[in-house]
Amino acid sequence: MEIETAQVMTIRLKKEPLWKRMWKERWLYILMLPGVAFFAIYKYVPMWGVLMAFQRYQPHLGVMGSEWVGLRHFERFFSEPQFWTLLRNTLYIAILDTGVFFPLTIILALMLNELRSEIYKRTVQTLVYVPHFLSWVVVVGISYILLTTEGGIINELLALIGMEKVQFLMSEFWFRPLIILQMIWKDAGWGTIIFLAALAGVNPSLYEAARIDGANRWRLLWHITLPSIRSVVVILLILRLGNFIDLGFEQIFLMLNAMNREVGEVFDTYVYQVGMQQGQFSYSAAVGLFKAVVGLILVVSANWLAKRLGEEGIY
Amino acid sequence: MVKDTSFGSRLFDGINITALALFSLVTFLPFLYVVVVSFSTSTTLIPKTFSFEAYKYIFSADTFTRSLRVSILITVFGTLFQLIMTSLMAYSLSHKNLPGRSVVLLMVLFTMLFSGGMIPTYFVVKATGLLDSLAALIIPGAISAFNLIILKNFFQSIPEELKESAKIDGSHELGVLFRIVLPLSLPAMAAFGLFYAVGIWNQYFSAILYLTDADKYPVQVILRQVIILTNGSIGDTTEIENVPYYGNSIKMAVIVIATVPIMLVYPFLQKHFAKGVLLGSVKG
Amino acid sequence: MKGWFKASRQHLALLIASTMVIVSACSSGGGSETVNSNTGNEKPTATNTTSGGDSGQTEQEPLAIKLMYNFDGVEFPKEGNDVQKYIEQATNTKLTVSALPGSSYEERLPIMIASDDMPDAFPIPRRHQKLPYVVNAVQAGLFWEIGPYLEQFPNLSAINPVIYENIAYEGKTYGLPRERALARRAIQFRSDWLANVGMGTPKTIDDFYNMLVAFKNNDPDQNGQADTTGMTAKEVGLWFAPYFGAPNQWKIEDGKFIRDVQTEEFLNALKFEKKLYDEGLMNKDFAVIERPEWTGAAENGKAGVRIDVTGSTVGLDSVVKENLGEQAAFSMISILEGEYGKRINMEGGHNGFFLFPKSSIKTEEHLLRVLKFFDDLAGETISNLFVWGLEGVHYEMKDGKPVAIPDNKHGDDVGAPYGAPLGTLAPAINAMQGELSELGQLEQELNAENAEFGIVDPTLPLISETFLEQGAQLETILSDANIKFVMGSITEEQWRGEVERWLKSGGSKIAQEYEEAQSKLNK
Repeated sequence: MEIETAQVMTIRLKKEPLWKRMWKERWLYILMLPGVAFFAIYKYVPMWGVLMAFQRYQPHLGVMGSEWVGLRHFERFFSEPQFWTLLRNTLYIAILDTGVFFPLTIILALMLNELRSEIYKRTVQTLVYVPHFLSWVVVVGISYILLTTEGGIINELLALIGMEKVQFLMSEFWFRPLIILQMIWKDAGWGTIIFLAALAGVNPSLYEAARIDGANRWRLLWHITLPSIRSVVVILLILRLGNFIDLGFEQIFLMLNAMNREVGEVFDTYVYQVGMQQGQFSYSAAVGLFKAVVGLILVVSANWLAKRLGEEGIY
Repeated sequence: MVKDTSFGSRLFDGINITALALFSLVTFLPFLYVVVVSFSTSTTLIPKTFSFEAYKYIFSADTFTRSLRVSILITVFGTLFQLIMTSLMAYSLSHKNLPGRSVVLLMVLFTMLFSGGMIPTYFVVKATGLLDSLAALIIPGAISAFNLIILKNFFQSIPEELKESAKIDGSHELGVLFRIVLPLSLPAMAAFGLFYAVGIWNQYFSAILYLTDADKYPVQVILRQVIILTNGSIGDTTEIENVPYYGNSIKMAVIVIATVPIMLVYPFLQKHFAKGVLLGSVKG
Repeated sequence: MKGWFKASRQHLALLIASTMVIVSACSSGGGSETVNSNTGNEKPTATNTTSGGDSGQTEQEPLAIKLMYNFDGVEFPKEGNDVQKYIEQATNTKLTVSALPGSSYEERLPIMIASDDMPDAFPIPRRHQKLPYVVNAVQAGLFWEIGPYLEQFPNLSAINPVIYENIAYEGKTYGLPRERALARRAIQFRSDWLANVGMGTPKTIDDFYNMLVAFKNNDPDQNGQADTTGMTAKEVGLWFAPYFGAPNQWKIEDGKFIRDVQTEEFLNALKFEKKLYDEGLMNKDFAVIERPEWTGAAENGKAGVRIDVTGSTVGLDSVVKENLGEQAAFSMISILEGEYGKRINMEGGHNGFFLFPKSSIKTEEHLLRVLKFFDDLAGETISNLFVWGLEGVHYEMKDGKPVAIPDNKHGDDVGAPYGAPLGTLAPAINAMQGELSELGQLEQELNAENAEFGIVDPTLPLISETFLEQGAQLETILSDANIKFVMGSITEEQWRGEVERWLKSGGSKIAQEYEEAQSKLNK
């Protein structure tokens, strides 16, 4: 009780009139100005495109001239026969993405951080981040070379040890593992960068002091290393939730075929096929809006939860 | 440094080193394959011959040298510009007591989820006079909301006392930013610089959308074109039979040329990831 | 069905006749002499007074034309290159070309129409012909209807009328098609292997099957190892279907539209492919194979058969010779005869078509001059350029016949940047005839023969709203079912169930809409 009132007191003390506080920080506002202008012009001015979701948008008529159709596109979307399959598949992969890929990048960063040899560490870092620069077309092409039943390296090895060949690329069972493995292969190394940057900011004297106190490696990891990246992890996680159902469209699209579509088709690939390829701008906009609203709900709840748990949150 | 030499610790080191070696091997081998194929002429899966044919072909026309120049140019200037824009805004927003801060942050976050889409953005780029200029590849992506929010977070973790003391010494806000905050955030700046650089380097769609002059195309446009011509993948209109055929080795060589320059950036930035660059010495 | 068939035959006769007329007409004068009369009194401005000097006849100032098109090569030639200069001189124009990589061109088109930044002419890709943004813009009157003007232009009107019909919107012609063979499907096979196993060119479906068996089992490359396969396949081979009597996508029976999958003939074709799959006469990974590997199997002497188009055999033959030596050779055939006689699927017969926006071409005179430019492009001079290139650079004249200079860069200099995107009437028609290789000869013969036996997809000029909206996902139901059936993961019953699902989810609605559109068109 007492502490609380003391806090209230200090806040009250600080409380000057708003304009006065703002005037005091005028330099900060000036520094912020270019950025705010950028967001206003390049992000908020085009925001009228969202209206397309409620129209039968025709490029040559523009938003002003196109016919309004209300919620028709949303109704169509929710009543698609595949809607629930799409939702299930999307959630499945999104959970794998957030629950497997994301923690793995943290673990990889920690493993790198634990390396004692500086040269070895740098070499590994450089090598694991190379695949990020190959496009998905190339990655899927490489997967094909490895996995095809017609002379693919993995299947040849299986045959060599007397096992039956596996149709990895045309199987419902293997689809998700392959997707997540490709993600890890391509982007796990890249994903460590931000954590490594956070780890680089840890004050070495903290480690020294703890070691003098007799802490072993695990305790250092638990009490110093992990807490130092905690806030970055939380922020990244919240931001990730915002794009929770945005999956790498190109990757999944390239991996899809008749035999795995049942588990592989997700919102993004579906919308690409139905919306963009067919030139149905309004429909794509409607699905985009749906995804954004879901993302917004997730972000706001996650941010609220983070703040409840004493973290900083995003705003 | 006091070293932990217990058995458990050594075992961990052993496992750790082996696991990372394996993982880096797995990530690097396919790229090695790409490089090897680019230096061969055969069309078989396993290359047998060595030659510079593909590279000779590529550099026989000046498209690649020119587009590489464009890519390097926009990456260098674009990264600088975007880093400055982002740091200025992130620095202001890192002041927890700034009135209106959460509104701005919320608005920024909002743009990560909602966007007007390609057509309206095109109109804004046109209205701001950027069409057919290289600035169209830099300015419309000046600040990534993602980078801004995380950079703000990094700035916040710098101890208040340091900033305050600098202010007492008579430094202006800009002074605090450039003399205290940025030097202390070098690892973060290196990371976000890398993100921006790679982002600019890898973009091809804005180039297609906003540029009509093929002389201004960055190397990614050419790369994508070659890959699509050889693969016949997403969105191919290419059904014409008498277009020149580009072999696998040329495709791979183009991949190498388009990725190696940006890959080389990382080793140079890496030293900034070394533990506790400045923090230790300042705070001591 | 029958009616369509007949119609196409008549058109073919017409095409051949008109082609001959043009060839003889052009051989005397060349394309640029057929100037239409009404351009003479256009824009009597400063030009006339300055250039009018001694020539007596007033020379027109070169017409500035802005073009935008897809470019399917790597490097677009520099501004002021010889080829473009040659075109500008021959057509009296000054060109401004924006050539976008083919893959990106599609993505930019809707924005171009939305922002009204349209050039004087640009092509609509074949795949976009019926996309709503194109259909709506055409129906809204954004583009010139060029049909009524075509007869003034001998070369443009020589383009097969079937093709103009295929790209018409509600029976009106807006587009200028980039012509290509109507039926191009080709079975490309190793002729040297065929000789090695003691067989002749396959004529029937059985011959074809036996060839595949022999290619797989009888060591056709005579190296003593069982390292060859029959066919390298990519996707389900719907090209089989016509040999078994199935329609080309749709057929009309008693006024009703019936989809191929609803016929027993189609299922028979599918069963044939399943047999090839089950017996290992084609690659098991046909549904996921990547293009380089698909074609690589034929190029490296692993597979003896590839299914592609007539135009790609010459290239395949030269690659396989380079890889395996001069004895290796490819030949091709298009039609396998069965109990239904000679049949082959026809396509639209074009690789996209040009539209002419009213916002950039304001007057009828201007339109006529732009059309004249395209007519000139299809004339003798530029046709020669498109086919042979520049004399002394890409070809030489020997005994009155053009001969290509070895290792010339025709594809990079002419073909990809100008010939392929700008040719409307097939350039071969008005160009000089050179000494054709055996394969090249065969290609021409097949293209001509195929057009004769081609069956038409009656829905090409029709529009179905349901198809526009849900076509992509509905087609996926069918193509997935076909693949699953061939791979044996669903039974015949289940396959029929999928067809039923397709009908219920919109297939029958599409049929009905086509029916209505057809009856509207017939009125």
